[in-house]
Amino acid sequence: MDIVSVNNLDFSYQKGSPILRQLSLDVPENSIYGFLGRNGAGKSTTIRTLLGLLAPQAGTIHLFDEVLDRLNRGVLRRIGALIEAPSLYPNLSAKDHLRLACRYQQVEETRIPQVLDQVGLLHAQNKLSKHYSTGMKQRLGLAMALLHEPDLLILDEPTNGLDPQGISDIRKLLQQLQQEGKTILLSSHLLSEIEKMATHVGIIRDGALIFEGDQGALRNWKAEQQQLVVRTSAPGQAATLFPASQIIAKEQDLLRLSGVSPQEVPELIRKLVAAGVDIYEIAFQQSDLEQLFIELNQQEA
Amino acid sequence: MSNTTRRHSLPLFRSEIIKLKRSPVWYLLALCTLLTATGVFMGHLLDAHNVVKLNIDPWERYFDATLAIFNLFIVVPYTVLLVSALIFIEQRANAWKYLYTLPYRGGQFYITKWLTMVFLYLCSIAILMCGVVLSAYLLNTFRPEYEFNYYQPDVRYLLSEMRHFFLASLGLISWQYWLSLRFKNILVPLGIGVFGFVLGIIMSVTGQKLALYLPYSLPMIVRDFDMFRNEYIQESAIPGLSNVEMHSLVIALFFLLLGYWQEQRRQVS
Repeated sequence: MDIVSVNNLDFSYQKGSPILRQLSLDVPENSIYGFLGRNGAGKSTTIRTLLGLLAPQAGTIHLFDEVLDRLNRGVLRRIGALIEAPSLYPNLSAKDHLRLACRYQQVEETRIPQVLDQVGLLHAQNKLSKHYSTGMKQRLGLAMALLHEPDLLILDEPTNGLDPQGISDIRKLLQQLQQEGKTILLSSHLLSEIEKMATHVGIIRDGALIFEGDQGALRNWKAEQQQLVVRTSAPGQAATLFPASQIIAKEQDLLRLSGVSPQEVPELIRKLVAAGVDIYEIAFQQSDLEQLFIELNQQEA
Repeated sequence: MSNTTRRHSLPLFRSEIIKLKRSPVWYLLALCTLLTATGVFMGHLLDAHNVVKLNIDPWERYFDATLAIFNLFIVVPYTVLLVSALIFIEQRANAWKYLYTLPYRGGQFYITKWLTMVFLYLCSIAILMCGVVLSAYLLNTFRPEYEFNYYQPDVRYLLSEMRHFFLASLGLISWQYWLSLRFKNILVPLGIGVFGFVLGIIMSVTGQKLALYLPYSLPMIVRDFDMFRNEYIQESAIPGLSNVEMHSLVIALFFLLLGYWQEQRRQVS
């Protein structure tokens, strides 16, 4: 079952300058969905439409199989959200913020110490938020989103401003929440972070989704895209031994080939040796998500 | 409105009260009441030989002096500052993007904040009334010739006068609130408020008919303390309400409904 289902979403602030173009995405239940895109690609706008902050000009949004619109906002009760920098009142402490959120979400205040402990802010609960570091503010924002134990967490750049330890803590927390059955949709520009924790990935470019799939689909795609790099004394001569469609690049002492499976490598080596080509090095070069992300963007461009 | 959302109105109001913790709103409230009470107190303390009249109830005179100061110097700037301070709390926290992701309608936040403003305004009136009575007794310890102890304060009269101020201020509260949400920079509505205050005084002093339609002058002219006589003020079709109060209520209702309608459709970018 898809917890979030977006179909053909169009959004623009001004006529003729679309921000989202026929965007469709599906977030499966109990997944960590990493939403990737460059700055200005439309990630935050998508998230804002999902939360009812912006009304799309066309398309539909289903959350938990319910249509989200201006008149049906009850479904937002099942969602916890953190959009970029959290909204914090400088005159209030962490505890006050959570008391506030308890009123809004109709949650008992006994939940406050639990959630503060969960994000590691128990020791600073009485400190005013204006004295918090960026990372602490981010944690408090996360605590407010988690307070009512939502089924779906929507987080826009949740690790912004966190140090490596903080990022690792948040990653562990999100993974733990997923194990508890929650669904998490998070956008991030830290692609390595998405790669480490996301079960599903969506990549947005210029307001349209250009890739969506689980880690398996991503791995297949990456396998298809992996290159065999052959360092040789005569790349020109070596290139004549393979079909032109397989050759990606021919450099000074390098030959880059695509569409070669690991099983085909011994035969390839025999062919090169038989032709009298010296082989200095042979290796697969796999794109990481960052590389993949750039490649996808380049392909679309 | 669904049952779920209606059920949530009281928690929303409680949340508004939590937000006021350590906020400048309380200082503003204290300052408003202190300034008024202290102004009247000092005037009576320093000018006793002109004010004291033997065998005449001093309370009514004392109350009228308080209300005159309140309606001319305090009520409009106080209301403008109170509204701005409450909006500033949300703007400084960039809170709209959090609030509007909650399972409430935008209009509910609008109405709740308006109710909070009205509640605070009522609080300040109540505190002012207590302060005025207490300051009179304090004055009596320095100037026993006033004879405050020999007469009972007519609190019902004070309440009745405050009711007129309250009703005449509702239009200003709603207008200034609506205006404050239209600008991201709080200084713009504040500036308009200051301009309106000056314009209100001019309209009131010169007895212009336009004063009856200007939210800033309505609290100034609603009661006549031998300052602003306006020949256009008369009873409205509703007994007990003057046309000034009626205009204030109409303005209040108009901007409340307009704001509610706009907030329901608000896009938070």
